[in-house]
Amino acid sequence: VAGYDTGSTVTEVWSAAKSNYGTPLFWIRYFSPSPGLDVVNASASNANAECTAIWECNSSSPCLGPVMSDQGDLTTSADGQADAKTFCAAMKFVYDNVTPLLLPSNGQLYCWLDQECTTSLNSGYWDGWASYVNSYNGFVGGSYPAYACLYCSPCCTPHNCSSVCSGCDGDTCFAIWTPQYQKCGYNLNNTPPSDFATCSGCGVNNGVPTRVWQFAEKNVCGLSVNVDMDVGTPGFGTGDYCFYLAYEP
Amino acid sequence: MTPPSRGALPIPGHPVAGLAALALALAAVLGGCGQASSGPPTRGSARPPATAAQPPAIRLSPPPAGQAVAQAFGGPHVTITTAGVYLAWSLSPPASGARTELARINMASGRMEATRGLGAVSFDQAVAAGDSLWVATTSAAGETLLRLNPQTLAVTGRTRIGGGGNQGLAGPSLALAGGWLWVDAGDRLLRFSVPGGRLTAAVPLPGAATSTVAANSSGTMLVVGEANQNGTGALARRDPTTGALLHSSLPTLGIVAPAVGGVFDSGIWASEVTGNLGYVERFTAETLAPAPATRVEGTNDVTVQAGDGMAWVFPSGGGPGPSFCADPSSGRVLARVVLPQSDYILAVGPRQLFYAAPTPNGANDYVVTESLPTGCRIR
Repeated sequence: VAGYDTGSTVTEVWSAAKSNYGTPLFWIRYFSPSPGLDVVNASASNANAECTAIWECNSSSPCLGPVMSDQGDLTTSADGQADAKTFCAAMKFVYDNVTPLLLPSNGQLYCWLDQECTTSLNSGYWDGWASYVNSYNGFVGGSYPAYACLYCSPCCTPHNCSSVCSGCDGDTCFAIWTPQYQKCGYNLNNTPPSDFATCSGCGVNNGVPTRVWQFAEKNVCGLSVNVDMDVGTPGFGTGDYCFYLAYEP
Repeated sequence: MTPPSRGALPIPGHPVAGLAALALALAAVLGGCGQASSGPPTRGSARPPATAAQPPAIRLSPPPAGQAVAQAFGGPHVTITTAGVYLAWSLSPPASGARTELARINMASGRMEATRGLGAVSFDQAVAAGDSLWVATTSAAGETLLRLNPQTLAVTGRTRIGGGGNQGLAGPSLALAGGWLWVDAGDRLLRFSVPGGRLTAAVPLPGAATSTVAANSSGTMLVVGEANQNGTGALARRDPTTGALLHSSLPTLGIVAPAVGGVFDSGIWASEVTGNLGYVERFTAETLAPAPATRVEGTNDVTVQAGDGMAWVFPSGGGPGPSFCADPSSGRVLARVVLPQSDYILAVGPRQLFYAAPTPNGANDYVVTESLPTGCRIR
């Protein structure tokens, strides 16, 4: 189950991405706060345009996963809670304004915090962020559907699993999405053999599994479209843990 | 001010069509700062180095409406060398097995004066040296260094570089330094003779899973970026004749080797991918320490390239992010470059800038040429 994420908009890139690298079964896109990035929740019209593009790209699997980024000083629980509050409000805004957008049928919406190799992120921030996300219940028709998950490079030093997941035990962090390791020359129609980093493989047995592998990034692999390519790790259907569209917006 | 000239090279989907490609005289550049006055011209997390005054914004115009192009996949590459300007592109989607073609462009007429099919490979980089054009390609079978006649593009030599030693990167990079052609191959740095193309040395890069190589224009400074499998790496100056390590930077944090985009006598510009995001930074040539206030953050496609004596920072695939030309010695932003949505810079050469402009259906590309905006010229 492979898809794309992009720092651009789906509207801008889906056609070329589909032509060049295959039809995605999901998209992962930024939501607020994510300073400086194009966010789905920029406006109601933008949210609908993005969802329309996802539908046009593949109406058989119109799935949207949320990620947020904050590259500031991520140190305190209060920082984490504040960002999570903004993030959840952004997701709710999109959910409320895109009529056919539904929560995943399994009741588990994986919500990703983007932690870069260079981000200074500690367990205090994570605990604040994750506790808010995991207890968020603002979606009409859902019952605590948001699940806190982490985008990171588990083996990246020094901000690896040991620093960001010291408090994670599977109850607060449900999955890792990782860009390690990059495998160029593959695409959505021809995904690479499994070779992704895990927390346990990097010496941190926190029980958090790697569920999504970002195997080819735009700049690293010289892709001609501003997308990164992702695939669920064996047995994991990423699209099942995303928002999905019941019909065209 | 005289409007710079501007042309579009329609990328053909068929070799015959390629021979008929024409450069078009187009409308003048929409100069001025109209967009800048209403807010930042770039989207994304651009944090250009601080400057005393706001640099001008240069807006480039879109390609001509209705310009017919055929299919071109995989994105074009433009290489500007002393032997000529070369254009490489894929004739088929990468997902269905790319077939790549290389062409030599007459910039005065816009005609493709020679073309050469490269087969089911991806084009990585080209440099001209010793009366040859050297081209690095990657295929499922590994990486190859081709030697071509720079005029006819006839293949005159072919050397297997390795078996995917740089799998975590798009392909090998090439650099001319010390009279040699240097090629990175993951955990090794290969030295080839010029013009003979004979492998004369393989310098180990211990622990490196990915590497990149670049040199200054005079070939007196050789710089290598490398990283281990976990992405921890460094920039290093190496002896341009022997490849011996001269000086290494403090560790860089990313997911692959830092990409060396510009080597100037005064400093080195490199980009690093940290995950979903990335940054460009200038390093001092002597110590390889980051130069203060030159770090520019963006998404993971932010890149830097040397061209016409300047450093050009831009998103390599369009989309959000910083886009500007800078004084390579100070990092000072000379002008922000505003491209139409989804367009992206390909190359900068003497007084010329090349960028790609996706066609309305998004599957094809124009290659557009502009005279360098005056704001991006070092006087």
